[in-house]
Amino acid sequence: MNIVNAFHSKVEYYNTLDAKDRKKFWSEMIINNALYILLIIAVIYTYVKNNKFLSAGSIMNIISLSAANIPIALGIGGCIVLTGTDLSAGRVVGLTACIAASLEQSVEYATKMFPNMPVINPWIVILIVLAVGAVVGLVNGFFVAKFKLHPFIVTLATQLIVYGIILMYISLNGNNGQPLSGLDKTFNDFVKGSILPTFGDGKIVVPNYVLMAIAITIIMWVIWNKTTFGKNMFAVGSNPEAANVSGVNVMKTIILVHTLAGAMYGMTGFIESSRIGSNQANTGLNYECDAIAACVIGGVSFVGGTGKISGIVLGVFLLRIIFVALQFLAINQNLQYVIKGLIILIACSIDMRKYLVRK
Amino acid sequence: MEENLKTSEQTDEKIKDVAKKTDEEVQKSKRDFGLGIYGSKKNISLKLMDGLIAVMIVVVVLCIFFFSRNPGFRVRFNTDGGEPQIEDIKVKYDEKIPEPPEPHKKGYEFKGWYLSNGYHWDFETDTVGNDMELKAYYELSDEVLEQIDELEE
Repeated sequence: MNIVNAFHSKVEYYNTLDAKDRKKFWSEMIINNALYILLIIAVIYTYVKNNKFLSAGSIMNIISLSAANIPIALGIGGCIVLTGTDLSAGRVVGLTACIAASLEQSVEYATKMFPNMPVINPWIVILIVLAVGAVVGLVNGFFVAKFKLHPFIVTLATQLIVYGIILMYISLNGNNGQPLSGLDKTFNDFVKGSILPTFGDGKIVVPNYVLMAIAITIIMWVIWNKTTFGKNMFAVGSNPEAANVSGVNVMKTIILVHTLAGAMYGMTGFIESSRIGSNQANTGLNYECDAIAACVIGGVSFVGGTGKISGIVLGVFLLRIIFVALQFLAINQNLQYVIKGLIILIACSIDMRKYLVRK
Repeated sequence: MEENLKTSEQTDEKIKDVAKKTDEEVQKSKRDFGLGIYGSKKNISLKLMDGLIAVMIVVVVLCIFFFSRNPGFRVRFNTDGGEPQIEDIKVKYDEKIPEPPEPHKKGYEFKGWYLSNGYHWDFETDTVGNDMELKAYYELSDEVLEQIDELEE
Protein backbone atom coordinates (compact mmCIF):
# COMPACT_ATOMS: atom_id res chain seq x y z
CA MET A 1 0.00 0.00 0.00
CA ASN A 2 2.83 2.40 0.90
CA ILE A 3 4.44 1.76 -2.49
CA VAL A 4 1.14 2.41 -4.30
CA ASN A 5 0.56 5.62 -2.34
CA ALA A 6 4.12 6.78 -3.01
CA PHE A 7 3.66 6.08 -6.72
CA HIS A 8 0.37 8.02 -6.84
CA SER A 9 1.89 10.98 -5.04
CA LYS A 10 4.82 10.97 -7.49
CA VAL A 11 2.39 10.94 -10.44
CA GLU A 12 0.44 13.83 -8.94
CA TYR A 13 3.69 15.75 -8.36
CA TYR A 14 4.80 15.07 -11.97
CA ASN A 15 1.51 16.43 -13.34
CA THR A 16 2.12 19.75 -11.59
CA LEU A 17 5.51 20.26 -13.29
CA ASP A 18 6.14 22.39 -16.37
CA ALA A 19 8.14 21.15 -19.40
CA LYS A 20 11.55 22.25 -18.07
CA ASP A 21 10.96 20.71 -14.63
CA ARG A 22 9.71 17.49 -16.23
CA LYS A 23 12.94 17.23 -18.20
CA LYS A 24 14.89 17.72 -14.99
CA PHE A 25 12.69 15.13 -13.25
CA TRP A 26 13.54 12.49 -15.86
CA SER A 27 17.25 13.29 -15.86
CA GLU A 28 17.33 13.00 -12.05
CA MET A 29 15.41 9.72 -12.25
CA ILE A 30 17.86 8.28 -14.81
CA ILE A 31 20.98 9.37 -12.92
CA ASN A 32 19.75 8.15 -9.52
CA ASN A 33 18.75 4.76 -10.95
CA ALA A 34 21.60 4.47 -13.44
CA LEU A 35 22.98 1.34 -11.82
CA TYR A 36 19.64 -0.48 -11.96
CA ILE A 37 19.17 0.51 -15.60
CA LEU A 38 22.69 -0.73 -16.35
CA LEU A 39 21.88 -3.99 -14.61
CA ILE A 40 18.69 -4.58 -16.62
CA ILE A 41 20.59 -3.95 -19.86
CA ALA A 42 23.38 -6.30 -18.74
CA VAL A 43 20.91 -9.06 -17.86
CA ILE A 44 19.13 -8.82 -21.22
CA TYR A 45 22.42 -8.68 -23.14
CA THR A 46 23.88 -11.64 -21.23
CA TYR A 47 20.74 -13.71 -21.84
CA VAL A 48 20.93 -12.98 -25.56
CA LYS A 49 24.61 -14.01 -25.65
CA ASN A 50 24.19 -17.10 -23.45
CA ASN A 51 20.62 -18.21 -22.74
CA LYS A 52 21.79 -20.49 -19.91
CA PHE A 53 22.13 -17.34 -17.80
CA LEU A 54 18.45 -17.30 -16.84
CA SER A 55 18.05 -21.06 -16.50
CA ALA A 56 16.64 -22.41 -13.23
CA GLY A 57 20.04 -23.80 -12.25
CA SER A 58 21.77 -20.48 -12.88
CA ILE A 59 19.19 -18.50 -10.91
CA MET A 60 19.49 -20.95 -8.01
CA ASN A 61 23.28 -20.55 -8.20
CA ILE A 62 22.91 -16.76 -7.96
CA ILE A 63 20.55 -17.09 -4.99
CA SER A 64 22.91 -19.52 -3.24
CA LEU A 65 26.01 -17.36 -3.77
CA SER A 66 24.12 -14.27 -2.60
CA ALA A 67 22.83 -16.06 0.51
CA ALA A 68 26.40 -16.88 1.54
CA ASN A 69 27.33 -13.19 1.39
CA ILE A 70 24.25 -11.69 3.03
CA PRO A 71 25.37 -12.05 6.70
CA ILE A 72 28.70 -10.27 6.15
CA ALA A 73 26.97 -7.49 4.19
CA LEU A 74 24.41 -7.02 6.98
CA GLY A 75 27.22 -6.77 9.51
CA ILE A 76 29.27 -4.27 7.55
CA GLY A 77 26.09 -2.29 6.79
CA GLY A 78 25.80 -1.40 10.47
CA CYS A 79 29.38 -0.10 10.53
CA ILE A 80 28.74 2.03 7.42
CA VAL A 81 25.57 3.49 8.98
CA LEU A 82 27.88 4.73 11.76
CA THR A 83 29.97 6.48 9.04
CA GLY A 84 32.69 3.89 9.47
CA THR A 85 33.85 0.76 7.73
CA ASP A 86 35.32 -2.61 8.63
CA LEU A 87 38.33 -3.90 6.76
CA SER A 88 38.76 -6.88 9.08
CA ALA A 89 35.52 -8.57 7.97
CA GLY A 90 37.11 -10.88 5.42
CA ARG A 91 39.83 -12.09 7.78
CA VAL A 92 37.30 -12.73 10.55
CA VAL A 93 35.33 -14.83 8.05
CA GLY A 94 38.54 -16.74 7.32
CA LEU A 95 39.35 -17.28 11.00
CA THR A 96 35.86 -18.52 11.88
CA ALA A 97 35.75 -20.70 8.75
CA CYS A 98 39.05 -22.35 9.78
CA ILE A 99 37.82 -22.82 13.36
CA ALA A 100 34.54 -24.35 12.17
CA ALA A 101 36.35 -26.61 9.71
CA SER A 102 38.85 -27.80 12.35
CA LEU A 103 36.00 -28.75 14.68
CA GLU A 104 33.99 -30.49 11.96
CA GLN A 105 36.59 -32.64 10.24
CA SER A 106 35.54 -36.25 9.83
CA VAL A 107 37.05 -38.70 12.37
CA GLU A 108 38.07 -40.91 9.44
CA TYR A 109 40.07 -38.13 7.77
CA ALA A 110 43.73 -39.08 7.67
CA THR A 111 45.17 -35.61 8.41
CA LYS A 112 42.55 -34.43 10.90
CA MET A 113 43.83 -31.40 12.81
CA PHE A 114 42.62 -32.64 16.20
CA PRO A 115 42.70 -36.43 15.78
CA ASN A 116 41.37 -37.28 19.25
CA MET A 117 38.40 -34.94 19.09
CA PRO A 118 34.96 -36.13 17.93
CA VAL A 119 32.88 -34.16 15.45
CA ILE A 120 31.27 -31.26 17.33
CA ASN A 121 27.54 -30.59 17.08
CA PRO A 122 27.02 -27.86 14.41
CA TRP A 123 24.83 -25.78 16.75
CA ILE A 124 27.69 -25.59 19.28
CA VAL A 125 30.09 -24.64 16.47
CA ILE A 126 27.69 -21.83 15.50
CA LEU A 127 27.85 -20.48 19.06
CA ILE A 128 31.65 -20.72 19.04
CA VAL A 129 32.10 -18.85 15.74
CA LEU A 130 29.54 -16.22 16.74
CA ALA A 131 31.49 -15.68 19.96
CA VAL A 132 34.86 -15.47 18.18
CA GLY A 133 33.50 -13.00 15.62
CA ALA A 134 31.82 -10.96 18.34
CA VAL A 135 35.08 -10.70 20.31
CA VAL A 136 36.92 -9.27 17.29
CA GLY A 137 34.02 -6.88 16.70
CA LEU A 138 34.10 -5.88 20.36
CA VAL A 139 37.80 -4.99 20.06
CA ASN A 140 37.09 -2.93 16.94
CA GLY A 141 34.18 -1.13 18.55
CA PHE A 142 36.06 -0.43 21.75
CA PHE A 143 38.98 1.28 20.03
CA VAL A 144 36.66 3.27 17.75
CA ALA A 145 34.34 4.37 20.53
CA LYS A 146 36.69 4.83 23.47
CA PHE A 147 39.70 6.41 21.78
CA LYS A 148 37.88 8.01 18.82
CA LEU A 149 40.22 6.25 16.38
CA HIS A 150 39.09 6.11 12.78
CA PRO A 151 37.38 2.77 12.00
CA PHE A 152 39.53 2.44 8.86
CA ILE A 153 42.74 2.39 10.91
CA VAL A 154 41.40 0.21 13.72
CA THR A 155 39.99 -2.42 11.41
CA LEU A 156 43.10 -2.33 9.23
CA ALA A 157 45.10 -3.23 12.33
CA THR A 158 42.71 -5.97 13.45
CA GLN A 159 42.72 -7.33 9.89
CA LEU A 160 46.47 -7.95 10.20
CA ILE A 161 46.16 -9.29 13.74
CA VAL A 162 43.41 -11.73 12.76
CA TYR A 163 45.45 -12.88 9.74
CA GLY A 164 48.34 -13.66 12.04
CA ILE A 165 45.99 -15.58 14.35
CA ILE A 166 44.71 -17.60 11.37
CA LEU A 167 48.25 -18.51 10.34
CA MET A 168 49.09 -19.59 13.89
CA TYR A 169 45.84 -21.53 14.30
CA ILE A 170 46.21 -23.61 11.15
CA SER A 171 49.78 -24.47 12.18
CA LEU A 172 48.63 -25.99 15.48
CA ASN A 173 48.95 -29.66 16.34
CA GLY A 174 51.25 -30.51 13.45
CA ASN A 175 48.85 -29.29 10.77
CA ASN A 176 51.61 -26.95 9.48
CA GLY A 177 49.31 -24.68 7.49
CA GLN A 178 47.67 -27.44 5.46
CA PRO A 179 44.16 -26.70 4.14
CA LEU A 180 41.42 -27.90 6.46
CA SER A 181 39.22 -30.24 4.48
CA GLY A 182 37.64 -33.68 4.88
CA LEU A 183 34.59 -32.24 6.62
CA ASP A 184 32.07 -34.55 8.24
CA LYS A 185 28.99 -35.48 6.21
CA THR A 186 26.55 -34.43 8.92
CA PHE A 187 28.09 -30.95 8.95
CA ASN A 188 27.98 -30.68 5.17
CA ASP A 189 24.36 -31.84 5.15
CA PHE A 190 23.57 -29.29 7.89
CA VAL A 191 24.90 -26.41 5.75
CA LYS A 192 24.73 -27.50 2.11
CA GLY A 193 22.03 -30.14 2.38
CA SER A 194 18.38 -29.32 1.92
CA ILE A 195 15.32 -29.81 4.08
CA LEU A 196 13.19 -28.51 1.22
CA PRO A 197 12.10 -30.78 -1.65
CA THR A 198 14.15 -30.59 -4.84
CA PHE A 199 12.67 -29.47 -8.14
CA GLY A 200 13.67 -29.50 -11.78
CA ASP A 201 13.91 -33.30 -11.85
CA GLY A 202 15.96 -33.28 -8.69
CA LYS A 203 18.65 -31.03 -10.16
CA ILE A 204 17.65 -27.81 -8.38
CA VAL A 205 18.37 -27.89 -4.64
CA VAL A 206 17.79 -25.08 -2.14
CA PRO A 207 20.70 -25.39 0.32
CA ASN A 208 20.04 -24.95 4.03
CA TYR A 209 22.33 -21.91 4.21
CA VAL A 210 19.80 -20.02 2.06
CA LEU A 211 17.27 -20.59 4.85
CA MET A 212 19.90 -19.51 7.39
CA ALA A 213 20.43 -16.28 5.43
CA ILE A 214 16.68 -15.63 5.40
CA ALA A 215 16.49 -16.15 9.17
CA ILE A 216 19.46 -13.83 9.76
CA THR A 217 17.91 -11.16 7.53
CA ILE A 218 14.65 -11.27 9.50
CA ILE A 219 16.53 -11.05 12.82
CA MET A 220 18.61 -8.10 11.61
CA TRP A 221 15.52 -6.34 10.26
CA VAL A 222 13.88 -6.62 13.67
CA ILE A 223 17.05 -5.34 15.38
CA TRP A 224 17.44 -2.38 13.01
CA ASN A 225 13.80 -1.34 12.88
CA LYS A 226 12.03 -2.51 15.99
CA THR A 227 14.53 -2.11 18.80
CA THR A 228 15.86 0.89 20.69
CA PHE A 229 19.37 -0.22 19.79
CA GLY A 230 18.53 0.05 16.08
CA LYS A 231 17.11 3.52 16.46
CA ASN A 232 20.13 4.56 18.49
CA MET A 233 22.41 3.24 15.74
CA PHE A 234 20.77 5.49 13.15
CA ALA A 235 20.78 8.44 15.55
CA VAL A 236 24.50 8.06 16.25
CA GLY A 237 25.21 7.66 12.54
CA SER A 238 23.28 10.82 11.66
CA ASN A 239 24.64 13.07 14.38
CA PRO A 240 26.53 11.62 17.34
CA GLU A 241 26.49 14.93 19.24
CA ALA A 242 22.72 15.30 18.95
CA ALA A 243 22.31 11.63 19.88
CA ASN A 244 24.47 12.15 22.95
CA VAL A 245 22.43 15.20 24.00
CA SER A 246 19.26 13.15 23.51
CA GLY A 247 20.47 10.60 26.04
CA VAL A 248 21.84 7.91 23.72
CA ASN A 249 24.91 6.10 25.05
CA VAL A 250 27.06 6.66 21.95
CA MET A 251 30.01 4.58 23.12
CA LYS A 252 27.84 1.58 24.01
CA THR A 253 25.98 1.83 20.68
CA ILE A 254 29.19 1.89 18.63
CA ILE A 255 30.65 -1.06 20.52
CA LEU A 256 27.45 -3.08 20.15
CA VAL A 257 27.18 -2.36 16.41
CA HIS A 258 30.72 -3.58 15.82
CA THR A 259 30.16 -6.60 18.06
CA LEU A 260 27.01 -7.53 16.16
CA ALA A 261 28.90 -7.08 12.89
CA GLY A 262 31.62 -9.44 14.14
CA ALA A 263 29.00 -12.04 15.01
CA MET A 264 27.66 -11.78 11.45
CA TYR A 265 31.16 -12.35 10.05
CA GLY A 266 31.36 -15.46 12.25
CA MET A 267 28.14 -16.77 10.77
CA THR A 268 29.48 -16.16 7.25
CA GLY A 269 32.62 -18.10 8.18
CA PHE A 270 30.48 -21.01 9.40
CA ILE A 271 28.62 -21.16 6.08
CA GLU A 272 31.74 -20.72 3.97
CA SER A 273 33.67 -23.45 5.80
CA SER A 274 31.27 -26.05 4.42
CA ARG A 275 30.49 -24.34 1.14
CA ILE A 276 34.16 -24.02 0.14
CA GLY A 277 35.11 -27.35 1.66
CA SER A 278 38.84 -26.66 1.86
CA ASN A 279 39.71 -23.81 4.24
CA GLN A 280 43.09 -22.15 4.47
CA ALA A 281 44.75 -18.90 5.45
CA ASN A 282 43.38 -17.06 2.43
CA THR A 283 39.77 -18.02 3.00
CA GLY A 284 37.68 -14.86 3.21
CA LEU A 285 40.31 -12.72 1.51
CA ASN A 286 38.72 -9.49 0.18
CA TYR A 287 35.21 -10.55 1.17
CA GLU A 288 34.76 -7.12 2.79
CA CYS A 289 35.19 -5.41 -0.60
CA ASP A 290 32.19 -7.15 -2.11
CA ALA A 291 30.17 -6.62 1.07
CA ILE A 292 30.91 -2.87 1.20
CA ALA A 293 30.12 -2.56 -2.51
CA ALA A 294 26.80 -4.35 -1.99
CA CYS A 295 25.91 -1.99 0.87
CA VAL A 296 26.69 1.10 -1.21
CA ILE A 297 24.72 -0.21 -4.18
CA GLY A 298 21.86 -1.00 -1.80
CA GLY A 299 21.65 2.59 -0.59
CA VAL A 300 23.63 2.52 2.67
CA SER A 301 25.28 5.91 2.61
CA PHE A 302 28.81 6.66 3.81
CA VAL A 303 27.42 9.98 5.04
CA GLY A 304 25.87 7.98 7.86
CA GLY A 305 22.46 7.47 9.38
CA THR A 306 20.92 5.99 6.23
CA GLY A 307 20.40 2.38 5.27
CA LYS A 308 17.83 -0.37 4.97
CA ILE A 309 18.07 -4.13 5.36
CA SER A 310 16.09 -4.56 2.14
CA GLY A 311 18.56 -2.30 0.36
CA ILE A 312 21.55 -4.33 1.55
CA VAL A 313 19.93 -7.62 0.47
CA LEU A 314 19.07 -6.08 -2.90
CA GLY A 315 22.62 -4.79 -3.25
CA VAL A 316 24.06 -8.26 -2.57
CA PHE A 317 21.80 -9.79 -5.24
CA LEU A 318 22.54 -7.06 -7.80
CA LEU A 319 26.28 -7.40 -7.32
CA ARG A 320 26.10 -11.18 -7.60
CA ILE A 321 24.00 -10.96 -10.77
CA ILE A 322 26.60 -8.66 -12.30
CA PHE A 323 29.49 -10.98 -11.34
CA VAL A 324 27.74 -14.08 -12.71
CA ALA A 325 26.77 -12.19 -15.88
CA LEU A 326 30.42 -11.27 -16.47
CA GLN A 327 31.33 -14.96 -16.15
CA PHE A 328 28.61 -16.02 -18.57
CA LEU A 329 29.92 -13.41 -21.03
CA ALA A 330 33.33 -15.10 -20.64
CA ILE A 331 34.98 -11.76 -19.96
CA ASN A 332 38.63 -12.07 -18.98
CA GLN A 333 39.09 -12.52 -15.21
CA ASN A 334 41.50 -9.58 -15.04
CA LEU A 335 39.04 -7.26 -16.73
CA GLN A 336 36.27 -8.43 -14.38
CA TYR A 337 38.16 -6.76 -11.51
CA VAL A 338 38.27 -3.50 -13.47
CA ILE A 339 34.54 -3.61 -14.20
CA LYS A 340 33.71 -4.45 -10.57
CA GLY A 341 35.80 -1.51 -9.39
CA LEU A 342 34.08 0.84 -11.84
CA ILE A 343 30.66 -0.34 -10.67
CA ILE A 344 31.64 0.41 -7.06
CA LEU A 345 32.84 3.88 -8.13
CA ILE A 346 29.56 4.52 -9.95
CA ALA A 347 27.56 3.47 -6.87
CA CYS A 348 29.65 5.74 -4.60
CA SER A 349 29.37 8.65 -7.04
CA ILE A 350 25.58 8.33 -7.20
CA ASP A 351 25.49 8.21 -3.39
CA MET A 352 27.66 11.35 -3.20
CA ARG A 353 25.43 13.05 -5.78
CA LYS A 354 22.29 12.36 -3.73
CA TYR A 355 24.05 13.85 -0.69
CA LEU A 356 25.04 16.98 -2.64
CA VAL A 357 21.51 17.46 -3.97
CA ARG A 358 20.14 17.18 -0.41
CA LYS A 359 22.76 19.67 0.82
CA MET B 1 8.19 47.81 27.49
CA GLU B 2 11.23 48.92 25.50
CA GLU B 3 13.48 47.22 28.01
CA ASN B 4 11.49 44.04 27.60
CA LEU B 5 11.86 44.23 23.81
CA LYS B 6 15.62 44.80 24.11
CA THR B 7 15.93 41.87 26.50
CA SER B 8 13.91 39.74 24.12
CA GLU B 9 16.13 40.75 21.14
CA GLN B 10 19.28 40.06 23.13
CA THR B 11 17.89 36.67 24.08
CA ASP B 12 17.11 35.93 20.43
CA GLU B 13 20.64 36.86 19.42
CA LYS B 14 22.08 34.70 22.16
CA ILE B 15 19.96 31.77 21.01
CA LYS B 16 21.15 32.29 17.42
CA ASP B 17 24.79 32.41 18.59
CA VAL B 18 24.35 29.19 20.56
CA ALA B 19 22.62 27.54 17.60
CA LYS B 20 25.41 28.68 15.27
CA LYS B 21 28.11 27.44 17.65
CA THR B 22 26.30 24.12 18.09
CA ASP B 23 26.00 23.81 14.32
CA GLU B 24 29.73 24.54 13.87
CA GLU B 25 30.59 22.08 16.59
CA VAL B 26 28.35 19.47 14.99
CA GLN B 27 30.02 19.99 11.62
CA LYS B 28 33.45 19.83 13.25
CA SER B 29 32.54 16.67 15.15
CA LYS B 30 31.15 15.17 11.96
CA ARG B 31 34.52 15.79 10.32
CA ASP B 32 36.36 14.42 13.37
CA PHE B 33 34.12 11.38 13.34
CA GLY B 34 35.33 10.57 9.85
CA LEU B 35 32.90 12.00 7.35
CA GLY B 36 35.91 13.37 5.56
CA ILE B 37 35.03 15.03 2.30
CA TYR B 38 31.34 14.63 3.00
CA GLY B 39 31.66 17.19 5.80
CA SER B 40 33.71 19.51 3.65
CA LYS B 41 32.33 22.97 2.91
CA LYS B 42 33.74 22.89 -0.61
CA ASN B 43 31.02 22.94 -3.23
CA ILE B 44 31.23 20.28 -5.92
CA SER B 45 29.59 20.90 -9.28
CA LEU B 46 26.61 18.63 -9.86
CA LYS B 47 27.16 18.80 -13.62
CA LEU B 48 30.73 17.57 -13.12
CA MET B 49 29.40 14.74 -10.98
CA ASP B 50 26.80 13.81 -13.62
CA GLY B 51 29.45 13.86 -16.32
CA LEU B 52 31.74 11.65 -14.26
CA ILE B 53 28.96 9.12 -13.64
CA ALA B 54 27.99 9.11 -17.32
CA VAL B 55 31.61 8.58 -18.43
CA MET B 56 32.10 5.66 -16.04
CA ILE B 57 28.86 4.03 -17.19
CA VAL B 58 29.89 4.40 -20.83
CA VAL B 59 33.30 2.84 -20.07
CA VAL B 60 31.65 -0.14 -18.31
CA VAL B 61 29.18 -0.68 -21.14
CA LEU B 62 31.90 -0.42 -23.79
CA CYS B 63 34.14 -2.87 -21.90
CA ILE B 64 31.33 -5.39 -21.62
CA PHE B 65 30.30 -5.09 -25.27
CA PHE B 66 33.86 -5.07 -26.63
CA PHE B 67 35.23 -7.97 -24.59
CA SER B 68 32.18 -10.19 -24.96
CA ARG B 69 32.11 -10.12 -28.75
CA ASN B 70 33.59 -13.63 -28.95
CA PRO B 71 32.19 -15.26 -25.84
CA GLY B 72 33.92 -18.31 -24.48
CA PHE B 73 36.84 -19.16 -22.27
CA ARG B 74 40.03 -20.35 -23.90
CA VAL B 75 40.95 -23.98 -23.19
CA ARG B 76 44.54 -24.93 -23.99
CA PHE B 77 45.69 -28.51 -24.45
CA ASN B 78 49.32 -29.12 -23.50
CA THR B 79 50.33 -32.51 -24.94
CA ASP B 80 53.71 -32.35 -23.15
CA GLY B 81 55.64 -33.59 -26.21
CA GLY B 82 52.93 -35.92 -27.49
CA GLU B 83 51.41 -36.01 -30.98
CA PRO B 84 49.22 -34.73 -32.49
CA GLN B 85 49.27 -31.17 -31.22
CA ILE B 86 45.77 -30.07 -30.26
CA GLU B 87 44.58 -26.55 -30.99
CA ASP B 88 43.08 -24.27 -28.37
CA ILE B 89 39.29 -24.12 -28.31
CA LYS B 90 36.72 -21.72 -26.92
CA VAL B 91 34.08 -23.03 -24.54
CA LYS B 92 31.25 -21.03 -23.03
CA TYR B 93 30.85 -20.68 -19.28
CA ASP B 94 29.28 -23.69 -17.54
CA GLU B 95 29.62 -25.92 -20.62
CA LYS B 96 31.53 -29.16 -20.99
CA ILE B 97 34.71 -29.46 -23.03
CA PRO B 98 34.46 -31.81 -26.02
CA GLU B 99 36.95 -34.62 -25.37
CA PRO B 100 39.99 -34.23 -27.64
CA PRO B 101 41.81 -37.15 -29.34
CA GLU B 102 44.33 -39.02 -27.17
CA PRO B 103 47.91 -37.85 -27.77
CA HIS B 104 50.71 -40.42 -28.22
CA LYS B 105 54.22 -40.14 -26.80
CA LYS B 106 56.86 -42.72 -27.67
CA GLY B 107 57.58 -45.05 -24.76
CA TYR B 108 54.71 -43.73 -22.68
CA GLU B 109 51.06 -44.53 -22.08
CA PHE B 110 48.54 -41.70 -21.97
CA LYS B 111 46.61 -41.58 -18.65
CA GLY B 112 44.38 -38.51 -18.90
CA TRP B 113 44.13 -34.73 -18.87
CA TYR B 114 44.92 -32.83 -15.66
CA LEU B 115 44.78 -29.25 -14.36
CA SER B 116 47.89 -27.58 -12.93
CA ASN B 117 46.73 -28.34 -9.38
CA GLY B 118 46.65 -32.08 -10.13
CA TYR B 119 42.90 -32.39 -10.63
CA HIS B 120 41.91 -35.06 -13.16
CA TRP B 121 39.47 -33.50 -15.63
CA ASP B 122 36.27 -35.44 -16.19
CA PHE B 123 34.89 -34.56 -19.63
CA GLU B 124 31.53 -36.15 -18.74
CA THR B 125 30.72 -33.91 -15.75
CA ASP B 126 33.17 -31.01 -15.37
CA THR B 127 32.32 -27.61 -16.83
CA VAL B 128 34.38 -24.56 -17.72
CA GLY B 129 34.47 -21.55 -15.40
CA ASN B 130 37.53 -19.65 -16.60
CA ASP B 131 40.48 -19.69 -19.02
CA MET B 132 42.33 -22.95 -18.36
CA GLU B 133 45.03 -25.35 -19.49
CA LEU B 134 44.75 -29.11 -19.56
CA LYS B 135 48.03 -31.02 -19.53
CA ALA B 136 48.41 -34.59 -20.79
CA TYR B 137 49.73 -37.02 -18.19
CA TYR B 138 51.71 -40.10 -19.21
CA GLU B 139 53.23 -43.13 -17.53
CA LEU B 140 56.01 -45.37 -18.84
CA SER B 141 54.56 -48.02 -21.15
CA ASP B 142 54.67 -51.75 -20.22
CA GLU B 143 57.22 -52.50 -22.96
CA VAL B 144 59.64 -49.92 -21.65
CA LEU B 145 59.19 -51.15 -18.08
CA GLU B 146 60.01 -54.71 -19.19
CA GLN B 147 63.15 -53.48 -20.96
CA ILE B 148 64.22 -51.62 -17.84
CA ASP B 149 63.68 -54.79 -15.75
CA GLU B 150 65.78 -56.83 -18.22
CA LEU B 151 68.57 -54.26 -18.13
CA GLU B 152 68.54 -54.29 -14.35
CA GLU B 153 68.85 -58.10 -14.32
